[in-house]
Amino acid sequence: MKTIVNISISITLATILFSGCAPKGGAGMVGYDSNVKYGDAKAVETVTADFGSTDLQATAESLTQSLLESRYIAKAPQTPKVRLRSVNNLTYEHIDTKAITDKIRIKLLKSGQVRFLADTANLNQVQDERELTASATANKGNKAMADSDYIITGNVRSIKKANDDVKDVYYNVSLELVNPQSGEIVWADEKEIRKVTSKSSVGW
Amino acid sequence: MKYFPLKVAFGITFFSSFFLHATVLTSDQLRSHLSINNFPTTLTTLSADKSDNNKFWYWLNLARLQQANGDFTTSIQSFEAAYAILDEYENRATISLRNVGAFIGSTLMSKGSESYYGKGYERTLMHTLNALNYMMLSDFEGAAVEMRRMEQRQEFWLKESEAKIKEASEEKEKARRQGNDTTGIPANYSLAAMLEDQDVRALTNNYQDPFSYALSSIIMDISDQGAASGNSGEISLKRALALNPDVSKAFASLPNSASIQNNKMNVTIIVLTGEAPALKIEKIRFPILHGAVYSSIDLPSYTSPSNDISNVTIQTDKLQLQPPRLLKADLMAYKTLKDELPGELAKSVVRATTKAIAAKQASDHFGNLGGLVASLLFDVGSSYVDSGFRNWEVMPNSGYISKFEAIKNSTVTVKLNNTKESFVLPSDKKGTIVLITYLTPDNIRIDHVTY
Repeated sequence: MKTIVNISISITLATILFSGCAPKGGAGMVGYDSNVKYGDAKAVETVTADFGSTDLQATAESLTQSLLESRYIAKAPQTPKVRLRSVNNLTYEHIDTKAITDKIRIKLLKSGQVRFLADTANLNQVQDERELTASATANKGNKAMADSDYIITGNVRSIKKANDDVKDVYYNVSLELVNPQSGEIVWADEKEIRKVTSKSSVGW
Repeated sequence: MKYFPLKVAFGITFFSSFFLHATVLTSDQLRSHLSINNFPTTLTTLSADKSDNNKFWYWLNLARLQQANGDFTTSIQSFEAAYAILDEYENRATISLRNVGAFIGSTLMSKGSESYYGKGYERTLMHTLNALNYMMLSDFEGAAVEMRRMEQRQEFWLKESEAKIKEASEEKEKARRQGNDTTGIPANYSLAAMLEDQDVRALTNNYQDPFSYALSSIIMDISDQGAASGNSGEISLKRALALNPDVSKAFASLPNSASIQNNKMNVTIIVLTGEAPALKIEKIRFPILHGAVYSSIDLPSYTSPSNDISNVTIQTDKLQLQPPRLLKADLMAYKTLKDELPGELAKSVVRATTKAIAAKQASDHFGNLGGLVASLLFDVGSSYVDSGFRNWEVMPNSGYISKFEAIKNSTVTVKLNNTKESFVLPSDKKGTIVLITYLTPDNIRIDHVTY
């Protein structure tokens, strides 16, 4: 009996001892006992009413699909060259609109239906695009880089309303496909998002 | 023993306040240590002292000093921390236990037991000053977001003000039922005359300032968002002009001449000077029971603004300008106080009556000495709690804006009272924005950004 007890104590002590030395969570895992967990990147996020990851994904998905179905892209005789310009942030939040355009660019590129030209920062939309084309004619290589068939521009707007019980935020993300030579808007679409938060009646 | 619950409540408030209000820099220390030699230590001390990091005013003070030190990114972070505190307050439950507790505390014990969430002009200007941070980082879109937030924030202030007017009316009625008249301002209240000042009376309201709207119109113009945002720049300018017609003097152009047409640029100079009045609680003591005991009316009040100047002049080789003082933080503080004073007075009378009853009960049980001790305890206890009731003490008191055309590569001289500062404009830019921060006569900082 004494031997059994001794063996049991030895096993318990050894387990405690070795469990303190062994890496937790198995090989290749660091910080196993921290509070950090991986989540589903596509899961619906409703932490706050601010513009979030779900809105970004939904916007990119919806507008890209619509753009790819437009006849200027879907029925173009040659794969059009497109340049993504900035999307204006006209909301009450510091939204990184580059994240929206980056996501749209990736989706469009993956479709194989458009070709993208490198971004030209700090130029003023359509007028700048025309000037760029004109000034680049002397150099064939530059012209190829500058001469886009279409540019994509857009705006993110929001309207906020609140009363004592409810806060309502409406987002409108609009994109336009513009022919820089003619200035004609050949396609436009929007994604609307509404978020409502309610105040609790009684709370801390 | 009837007064026992009151004594317990007072004791809890008094002793807990010792732990809650342990601040390294007092209001006076903060405001009087901004000169060039003291400023680095003051900023370091304020940054390191996190004992008040749950207070709205702490982050505003820190954000302002960081901006005055050219730390625009950290200043944005501090402003965001202040917003988070205010957002939490604005989104509390309809019946918030904290709000109810603060209301009871401020009604029965002391004005200082309320948490300070800023007045309308402070909530407006925190966004305006943060917009300047974004401007100085060349993020004009971010600056435009702040100006839209500034307008949005005013909506909650209006609702809160309406609730305060209603509350004031109820408190006034309560005071009337107790036989107290709260219609007049106490004669020995230090700000009695100031509240009736012509300039204070002339302000349209207590939360909108022409400085913010003039700046907003400039930001919309520079950020190219004017058309996309429904001509919001023009709307802002109209609002600024409605608040102060002198706004028209903030803008100047060079005559159209072919010789300088391609050689001119836009220059925007923004000058922030001095420190706005600091909030304090003023006690007006009065004897009761033939002078054996006393009570006090405690009203919110303000110190004088400090380190401000009276005159800004801008000179180029083509123009001489005197930009108008568009931000008048002191007058906005007094206007807010004037608007809120009826309610504050009524609440103060209720508090004074409560304390007087408790002091009388102490006097009845323990004689005149007991009554006097009770009066002293109430006085010292509420004074201590009130010392933690602070506002945005280093908010600029004055703001000037001037947007004008100048010749590229020319020299611009800005005169701040008798101090002259000069700089040379760039030769290859469309425009420049210059931010001049005048904290004290010897602590002036000039930052600029081009576009």
